Amino acid sequence: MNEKILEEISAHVQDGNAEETRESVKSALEQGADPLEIVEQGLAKGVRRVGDCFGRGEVFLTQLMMAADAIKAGLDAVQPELTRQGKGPQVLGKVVLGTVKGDIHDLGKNIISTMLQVNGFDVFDLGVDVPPMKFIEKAVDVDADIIAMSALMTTTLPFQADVTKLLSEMGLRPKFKVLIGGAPVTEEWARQIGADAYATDAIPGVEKAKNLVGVHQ
Amino acid sequence: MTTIWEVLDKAENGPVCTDRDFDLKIFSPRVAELAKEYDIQCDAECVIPSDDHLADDVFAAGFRLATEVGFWCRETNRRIVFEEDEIKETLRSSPGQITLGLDNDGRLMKHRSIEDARAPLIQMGPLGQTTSEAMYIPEHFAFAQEPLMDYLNGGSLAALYGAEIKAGSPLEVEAGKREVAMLREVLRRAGRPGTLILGVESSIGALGQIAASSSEGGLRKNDGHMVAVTSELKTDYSALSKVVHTLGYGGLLCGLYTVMIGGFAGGPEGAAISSVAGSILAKLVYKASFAIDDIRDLFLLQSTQLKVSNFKKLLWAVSVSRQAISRNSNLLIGSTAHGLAGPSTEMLFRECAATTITDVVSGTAFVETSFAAENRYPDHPGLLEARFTAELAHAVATSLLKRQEADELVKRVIEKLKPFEGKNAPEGYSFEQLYDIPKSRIQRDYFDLYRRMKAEIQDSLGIELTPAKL
Repeated sequence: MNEKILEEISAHVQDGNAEETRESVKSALEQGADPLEIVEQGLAKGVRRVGDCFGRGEVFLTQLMMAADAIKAGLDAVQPELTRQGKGPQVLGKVVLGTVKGDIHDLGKNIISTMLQVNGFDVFDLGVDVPPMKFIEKAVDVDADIIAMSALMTTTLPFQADVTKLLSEMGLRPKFKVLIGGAPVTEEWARQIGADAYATDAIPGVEKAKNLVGVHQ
Repeated sequence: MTTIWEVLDKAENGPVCTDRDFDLKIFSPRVAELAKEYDIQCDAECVIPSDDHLADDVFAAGFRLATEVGFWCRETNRRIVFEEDEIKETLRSSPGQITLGLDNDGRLMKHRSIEDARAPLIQMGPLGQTTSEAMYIPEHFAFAQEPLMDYLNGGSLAALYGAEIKAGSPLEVEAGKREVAMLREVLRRAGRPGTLILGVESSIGALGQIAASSSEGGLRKNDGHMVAVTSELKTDYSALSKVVHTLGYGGLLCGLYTVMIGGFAGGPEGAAISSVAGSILAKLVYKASFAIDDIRDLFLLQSTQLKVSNFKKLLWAVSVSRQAISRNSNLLIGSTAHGLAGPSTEMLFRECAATTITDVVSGTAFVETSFAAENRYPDHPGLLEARFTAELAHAVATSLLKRQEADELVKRVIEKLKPFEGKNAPEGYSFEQLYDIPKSRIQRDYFDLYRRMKAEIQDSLGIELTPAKL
């Protein structure tokens, strides 16, 4: 395979150029590239590099999110060929994610949303100020694996508890894994509300999500 | 000056913009462009620059960011933008001083210059940290007795009547009112009934704050009413409702804005520029008489492990943004003495020392102290760290410390933080562990640590802080 075109795709992803990524992917397909190689050696490689740089503090949230947009554009372009060939990139799991009701902090939520996407999860980002039932309804609707909730204030933490409580009372608790995060979240709080895992930041959060769906390093 | 009604009209009729577009297509790229245009570059080896041109460039960049980008309003998906003349007029008419509190307990907050010999005002308390109902009065009574406290900022009540307080719930309304009532009581017990209360921490929403300022015994006109700017440069109906209500009865508004290094503002350069823009816009949109304008590092907060290089860049951003505002406006801006470590740890004392020296010499009007362990643990207020910070703030000012000397001093403090690098920041101790509540006395071990930390900083500073008292 032409390594040059794959590097080009990776570079466009790293630069956060969605349109250029899309065009490069189309060009690679026209040249007969294997769509799975495009995904792995082009798109995923590019976004992994950005993710690593973000983890080291060399790039910031904007670059991370634009890389995620670029990879989405690239995946949109390659998906028809993947489908035609009966292939598909591995989706590790589905995650319904958001910041809980009453809370409009979205920085941490955006980071983990992006990092989960670039690590192969299908993420349904509900945004901020999300009522407890909306998490559950969406999770049921998309047959999610994980419900992930962020809370940044002590007065919004209880809404994480509301979700686990509702899941139990609705008989849905066994169906979903619950992952929580946010500055005031502690291991003790996670245990108290019956969450399956908690994460202090995005990178361990991705690893916890992988563990929850049974994917091991 | 642009009225609040004109601001609301802008919120309803300004340029349409989605949340994501504001972050990724408007705010973030513009900050990066301005940093490049003005050639603003962080030199982490000089934490407190003595470069007036740099300060002026940071202000110019922040001013342009404020003019070109404005605030984004969540409910209307529109930007609240101002003409350059509107901003200039507001800055020109800013009085540069304000009286906080009443009678003998009233304090005059004044604009400070860089290297100003007058001490900043000191805002003390748990600063919104989670506080249990049982500990609320004992903790705040301890702060209320601190002689260098100029005004009080309470903790956030975790629960009432055994039920957790949820945002937007009826209990949150009661929590806000209870917070103010308890703070008023502790100030009465401490013989300081006229001291300003800055609130409401227990009730973030407009409903709770308005309830706490309308009721008998609630926030008075001369108390501080907090209104937050969401990162970055965002507002909403809840915040604007607080402004409308507070202005309507003549109350004092205090803006609150935290810029994140690593977020949409980018690195320390972008954070400094955004901090200036946020301070300016808090004045225009919220009519804030004074504002807490903080900068934090996303990577430090998330990992809870000190990384010295990140900490230096954070201090640089704080210093240049404070200098920028101090040199170019009369805005009354303050910062937080904060740390990753919890109370009664060497690490927290040193983190607070570094942030305080940086803030004070850079021209901050007030220091709020101290924010221990970034609120990871309930009932962990930094009481003696606050006292230490206040004494240090006074000493830095009155000793006529210059920026270059302060830079050297901060670097010496940072050297002593290096042993903590890469390790999980210590939790420290709870209020109950550090304070004999029935006797209202600080425990001996805590006091001895405070004395030792004072001696350490006095050796570096070369001057004596006020004498230690148990």
